[in-house]
Amino acid sequence: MTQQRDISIKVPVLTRVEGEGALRLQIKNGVIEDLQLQIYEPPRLFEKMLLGREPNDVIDIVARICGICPVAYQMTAVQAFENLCEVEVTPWIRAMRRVFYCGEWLQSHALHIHMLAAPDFLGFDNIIEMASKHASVVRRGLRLQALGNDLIALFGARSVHPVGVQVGGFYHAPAVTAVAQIIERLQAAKQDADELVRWTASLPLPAEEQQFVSVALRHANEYPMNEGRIISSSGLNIDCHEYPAHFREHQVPHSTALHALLQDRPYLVGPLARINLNADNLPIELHNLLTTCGITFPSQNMFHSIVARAAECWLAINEAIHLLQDYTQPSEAAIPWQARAGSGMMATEAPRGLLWHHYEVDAAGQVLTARIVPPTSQNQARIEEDLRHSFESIDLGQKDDALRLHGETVIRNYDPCISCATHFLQLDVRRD
Amino acid sequence: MTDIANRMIKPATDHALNSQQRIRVIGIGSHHGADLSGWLACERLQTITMINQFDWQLCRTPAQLPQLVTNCHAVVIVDAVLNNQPAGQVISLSWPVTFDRYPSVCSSHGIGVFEALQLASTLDQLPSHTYVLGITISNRQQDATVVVTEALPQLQQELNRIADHIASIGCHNL
Repeated sequence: MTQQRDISIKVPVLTRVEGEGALRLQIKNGVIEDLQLQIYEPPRLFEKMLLGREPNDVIDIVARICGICPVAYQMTAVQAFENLCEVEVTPWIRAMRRVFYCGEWLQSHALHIHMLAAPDFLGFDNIIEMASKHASVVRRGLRLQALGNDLIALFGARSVHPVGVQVGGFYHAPAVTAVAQIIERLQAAKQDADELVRWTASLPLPAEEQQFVSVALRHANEYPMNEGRIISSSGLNIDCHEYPAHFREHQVPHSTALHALLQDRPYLVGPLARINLNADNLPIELHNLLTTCGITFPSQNMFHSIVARAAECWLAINEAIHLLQDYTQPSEAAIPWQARAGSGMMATEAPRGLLWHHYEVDAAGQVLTARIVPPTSQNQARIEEDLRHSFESIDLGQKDDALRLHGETVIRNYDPCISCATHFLQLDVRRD
Repeated sequence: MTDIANRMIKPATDHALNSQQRIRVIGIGSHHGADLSGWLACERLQTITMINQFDWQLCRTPAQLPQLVTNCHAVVIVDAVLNNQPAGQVISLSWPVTFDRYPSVCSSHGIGVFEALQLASTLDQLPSHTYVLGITISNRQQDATVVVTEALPQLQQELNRIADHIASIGCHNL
């Protein structure tokens, strides 16, 4: 770094992220003196709200932690309780829960790609400006988002706070006719999915590589969503029950959302981490499509996150078709289960990355303690590390507005859900 | 609920509107304090509104609006609005004349109600009859239950007015 200009950047409101947060950057004599991703919304205390609740209440409550990734919270919670109670669901339930998750990945990724991230790479301030020049692209994004929401509603009755999940399965099995209709739409969306991967790969993405550790689930036979072992690019390979022994959460003064470290180092969760660690489990057709587009995973370029999300949209659509194509409506959508005292844990892959839950339950089946570690809080330390790396790598002689946009673009690579981690981003610019 | 029932406004005559004249009512909100108002208002209106051509939806962020406003004849957005009016009032707006004066109270993703409707309009997806009913709040931590209870009669009145208007012009505009 040779730039000697003193710089202080403050973004009071980070745009195009979910929730609200702040970025503070102070550079003196070309050296970063202070860099903070500030999140100071009061804690939402969901873990306390769950105390004394029964498992099926917990499943409905945790969906309300986030309105954009409710399925992830429900799937993680329900399987934590099923692990505790030794409930083994039927193949139908397992498959349909994977379809349910496909819907969430599709709607979340489609929204992020088109509304939040793409404007950065095409030189637009927002999606509205982008829509005036790229209407067909934006319409495609909205179509995919709507399809994802409808997949969720197929099993959850609605996409906002779905209510279809219970311990042992679902409350309702969709009719064959409803499934047939959604399969038609999924088939029609395959072309959109192909085009989405090609289009994101063609965006003018910065070629910036950096070192980071990826953490994600790994499954022996499939691209991970609802189950798997927790692995890392640094050699970790553990069961979800071992998560607390390896991952440490701690409070930082400038954030109400906890930071998380693996072996005292920041780490990455999310689509790029997932695809980096599971590239060999991608369908061959998707692998070939990415190769055709000149994209290779694993990648150490955080700006490839948008391509990873597009690839996961492709995967969600095709996986949902595969799982639904021989659909039959079962006589029962759930299996019986018996509450018991004990400890239940689970990890699944939310759209934004690894989500981990732990519940202690008493003999009456009521929650004694709850601990939820969302992906965005796990990424906070990595985001700060990335920001530091990015600002140390670029020309600081650029105007403050350009530096501010660069910082926001770096943050948006992570698609942070600050509502889950707890809220609000404002960027403070202070000049010395 | 007794208080609300006593204050219920007599519903408008149920005009024989066909499916193309369905009015989609979308409540925008979140779990956070007064931002719950849009959801709560729609859930309550659904139980007391006698007119059957309303199609009710809940929405987590305005970013979802462009996909939700398609394939309907008219749309009514219900959302909390932070301003200096007493809480529980209803501000009734129609596209596109006055939206820019009333930014949404809690816009996530940098896309508020105005921006979302503007996006839908840019994509030619916005119904020609688009309205916003803003429920005024005085601060974000305000109790949504109190706010919505206060606003409910006026909300119902506005919905009836919109339904009457759509019914009166609908047969000429289809």
